[in-house]
Amino acid sequence: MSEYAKKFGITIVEEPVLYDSMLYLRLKKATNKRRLYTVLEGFFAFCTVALGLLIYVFPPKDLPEEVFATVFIIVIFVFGTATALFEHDKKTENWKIKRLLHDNIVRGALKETFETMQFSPGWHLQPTEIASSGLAPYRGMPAGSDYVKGSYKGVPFVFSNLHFTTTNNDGETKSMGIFKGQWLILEVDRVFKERLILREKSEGALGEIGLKSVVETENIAFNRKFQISTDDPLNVFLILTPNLMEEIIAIDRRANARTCMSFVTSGDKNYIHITFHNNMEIFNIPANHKFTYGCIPAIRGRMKSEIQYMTGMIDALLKNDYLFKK
Amino acid sequence: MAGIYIGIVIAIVLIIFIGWWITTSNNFKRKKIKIDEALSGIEVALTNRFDKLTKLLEVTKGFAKHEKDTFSAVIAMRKGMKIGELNECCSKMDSIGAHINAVAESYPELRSAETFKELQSAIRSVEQHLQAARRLYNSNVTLYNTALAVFPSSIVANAQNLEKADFFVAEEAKRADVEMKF
Repeated sequence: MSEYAKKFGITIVEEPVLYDSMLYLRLKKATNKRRLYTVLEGFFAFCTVALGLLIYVFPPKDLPEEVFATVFIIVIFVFGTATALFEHDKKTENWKIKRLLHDNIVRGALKETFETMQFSPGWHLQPTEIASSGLAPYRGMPAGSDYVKGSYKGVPFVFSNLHFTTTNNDGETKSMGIFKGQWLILEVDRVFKERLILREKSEGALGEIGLKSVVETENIAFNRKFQISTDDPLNVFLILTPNLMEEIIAIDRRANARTCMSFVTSGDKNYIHITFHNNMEIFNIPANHKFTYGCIPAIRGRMKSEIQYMTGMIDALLKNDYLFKK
Repeated sequence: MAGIYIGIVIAIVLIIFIGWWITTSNNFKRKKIKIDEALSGIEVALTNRFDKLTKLLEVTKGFAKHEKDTFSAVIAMRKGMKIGELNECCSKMDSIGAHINAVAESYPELRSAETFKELQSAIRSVEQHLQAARRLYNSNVTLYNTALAVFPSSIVANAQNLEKADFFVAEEAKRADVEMKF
């Protein structure tokens, strides 16, 4: 994992650099600029089309054909270029807003929750990191954002927003629509002799749906909700204590997601993969969001709440002596 | 002609019935094998616990020489024990474990001894495995007993004189209501 982080220059978290008042002013300035560029982009795009049509439908009668063609091309080029420039400026402002939010709110929220942390908004988990889980869809390429790597209560973790894309024979890349949510990986000391996979028995959860569990636990609600696959049934009962099963069900309900888990040893490392399919990206603010001074603490609160079900799951797993006590 | 059709239908029904009978019978055998496997898991965990407790007892006796006579429980472990015998062994080990802990309370040097701490930690790990093996066994017994009881698989079970399997019960002390005194 770390070589990817180094290769793509993951930044080390620093203290938030701006006070809320300053952040609000910068956000307001960027939002105003974005609005202006949006209007200008729209205006020039309209002008390009309108002028083009006008000249084409009502060509000046006394102009020679070559001159007319040159004027036509120049008009289209000038207005078209202006449209493209304003679109670029709008995107730059969008990027600035995202950067301001990431640097001053998301990083702060993450730093308050996790002990150590590296955050890379433009990066995501790689195929090699999720391959051993047995949850990644066949021929699916992961895509996403907001890669976070760090430790929580001494447990090393990495997570990111993720969805899967596939490329067809014509080279077109499109979303697979199988999974969209957060993928969390914990590194533990416990060696798993056989892989244990828990899949929520509902549409949209990763993996094959409807397969019968290899074992039935004493928790009927859990059996109804999750499919358990493993070649080592004893491992299921060592990991899934009655308390942990209750907590998994509660967190799954709170996260309003379809949850899957995989306990796996790959090489000399042992991982717990937890996926939350909730059809959303965390730390994401819609492009048309209206910023007010009062909304900044609310956004900060929202960002913190978006990682609560992940920390809740780690807390629940930490209570399991078999997984975490040496 | 009608007789031939009736004969074919009866033959098909018979083939389906025999196929179902064989499948159900095999399912019972598979479930029984799973129960036996789980039972052997309990045996292994109990034997481990027995070994660790024996070592712990020796260490405790070394420190608490005056208490030698109080450790007089006899536990006989052998292969192929029935579930009732395993239950009995388990509860005896529980009482010995509790006794050792009670004695250790009076001997601080025993509690701080490295061997004692290591053995206690090993026993905790073995008990985790025992607990998991017990839950796995009971889960398999539930599936088996349910299949024995429900129709139509109960027809096969009755014809083959299959009997319900016993659960591995939790020890009385843990099963009893928690008593709080103020």
